[in-house]
Amino acid sequence: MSSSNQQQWGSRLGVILAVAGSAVGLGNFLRFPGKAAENGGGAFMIPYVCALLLLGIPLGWAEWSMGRYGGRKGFHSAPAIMGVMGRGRIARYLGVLGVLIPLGVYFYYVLIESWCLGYMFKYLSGGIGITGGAAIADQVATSTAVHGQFTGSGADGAVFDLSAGWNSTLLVPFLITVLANVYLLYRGLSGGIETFCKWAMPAMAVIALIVLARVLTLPTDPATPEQNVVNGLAYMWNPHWDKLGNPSAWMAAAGQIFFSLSVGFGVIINYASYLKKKDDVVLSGLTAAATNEYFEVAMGGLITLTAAFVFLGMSLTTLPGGTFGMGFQTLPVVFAHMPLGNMIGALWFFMLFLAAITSSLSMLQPTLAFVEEATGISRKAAVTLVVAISLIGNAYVMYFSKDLTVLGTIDSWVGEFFIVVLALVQALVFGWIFGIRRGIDEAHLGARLRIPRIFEFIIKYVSPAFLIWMLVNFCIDEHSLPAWIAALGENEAARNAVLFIGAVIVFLVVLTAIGEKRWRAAGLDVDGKHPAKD
Amino acid sequence: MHMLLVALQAPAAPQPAPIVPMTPIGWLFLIASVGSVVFLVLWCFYRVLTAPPDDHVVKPPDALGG
Repeated sequence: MSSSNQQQWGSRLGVILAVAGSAVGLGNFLRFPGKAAENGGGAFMIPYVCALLLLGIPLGWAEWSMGRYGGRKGFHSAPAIMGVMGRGRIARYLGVLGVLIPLGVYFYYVLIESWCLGYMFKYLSGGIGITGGAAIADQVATSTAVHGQFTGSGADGAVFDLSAGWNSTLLVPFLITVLANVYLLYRGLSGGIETFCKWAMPAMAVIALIVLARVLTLPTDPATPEQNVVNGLAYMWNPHWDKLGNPSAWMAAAGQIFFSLSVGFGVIINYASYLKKKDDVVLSGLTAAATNEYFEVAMGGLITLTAAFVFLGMSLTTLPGGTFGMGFQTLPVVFAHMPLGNMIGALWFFMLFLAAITSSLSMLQPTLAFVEEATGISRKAAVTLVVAISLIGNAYVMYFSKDLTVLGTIDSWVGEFFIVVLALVQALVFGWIFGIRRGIDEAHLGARLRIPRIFEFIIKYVSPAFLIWMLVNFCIDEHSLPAWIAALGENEAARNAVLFIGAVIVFLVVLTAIGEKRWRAAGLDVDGKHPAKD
Repeated sequence: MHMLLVALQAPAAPQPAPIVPMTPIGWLFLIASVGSVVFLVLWCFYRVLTAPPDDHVVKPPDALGG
């Protein structure tokens, strides 16, 4: 097995599909439609497109360019690359967030991935036990109970209770999911991640089209003629202009773009570091973003709520929403009513599993590259160490499952707040320290597409201002930072989760210090004082 | 990709809202949004797949070993 320093992408299409695979996840199919319907329907697309143009695409280009530049300096980890781009220690240690975020999110994301696999097994073996003729409330209660078995939200350690049978717990799907992730990671960048994404992404597209065709041709029940496909689309797409006056709609749109595109996540910068000097980053970055938008808007925007509406009508508004609620509590009720529901349910959860595993793979690779780079150990040893660390994190989230407090706390701090902080750091480093003119010139090396000049202004001024506005909102919104901080004083599980994150940060900072010594001893341009060579 | 727990236990609305049929502006948003992303992704992949192959093979330095 070669070291991360010798790894290369096999093809241009491969790296695009790997980055797109990292971006396309559960949020595209489950979170986007709910956020859109809740924040203005079709009108939500206005702040959404603004966020895409002012944050998602320009910051994506900046990350691709920084990653490739860092790779030419011999670096593949966010701390090292940020140190080079930001010319010093502050940027380097802030770059630790580029390892913490994917690793921290992986701690719980792989569990959600396992739920998808577990649900698929259940649908393949006869469904999840919802009786179509029962009252909707009873059906939702059944699906919520099944979901509770997988999450273990009733009590700490509940997922380790095997009394309900192997296919009613998280353990078997979790083991399969972890083994699949480790195997693909161990196979390396080109042989594992790229090869897998090259068939998983087209497979996901085909399955999504099959499910979309099924949803758009759903028959209307003569007893409820108003619950038809067109009215289902209306529920999602009719604009509600009044919502646009509320800053929360704009925050929701920016948040959706962020989390969906994996911008400020630490993944793109790592993936791009394996590119060659004249490998295109502009068209590749745009293509990866466009692929993500295709799955989000064209698939997520047409499938999820439409299907739910046809079977549940406006009672849909009274059922669990959000990613978990929609995906694992409400949609199973829909599948129970749908002709060939078990087959469609199995296909749907297999597609979600593919979406999730292409994302989770990308979450371990940055940590793997960082451990190799900082310590100099072999890839095999690094994989072993990273898998051990991630298993500790998985076990922690899995065992302390009561009310999903630990999962929610890590998601809030790492998966929401730190992402915006890292994106701001990256925008400032790229636009102000490295220099926007130099950055755009770097992006244009080998580019198949020119970045319009307006994006120089956007990356330097608009994106940082937008991100600062988001951080201010985080700080003043009573449901965000103030609530999370208050929870630390009131809830022991939340406090321990934050301490756990703190321990991981300390570990990564120590590794960065060790790495810095090694990099300096090796004569590398750690502080980016010299131009990159070929 | 995240903010997974938001609305996990959101308070349920007491009464379902009335059904509103699709409006022309609703169709416009749907067609413009879906059409735009489909066009963009097709155009991007067309550009990627028809671009000439890279002729620059530049390996990054391997000073760190490992």
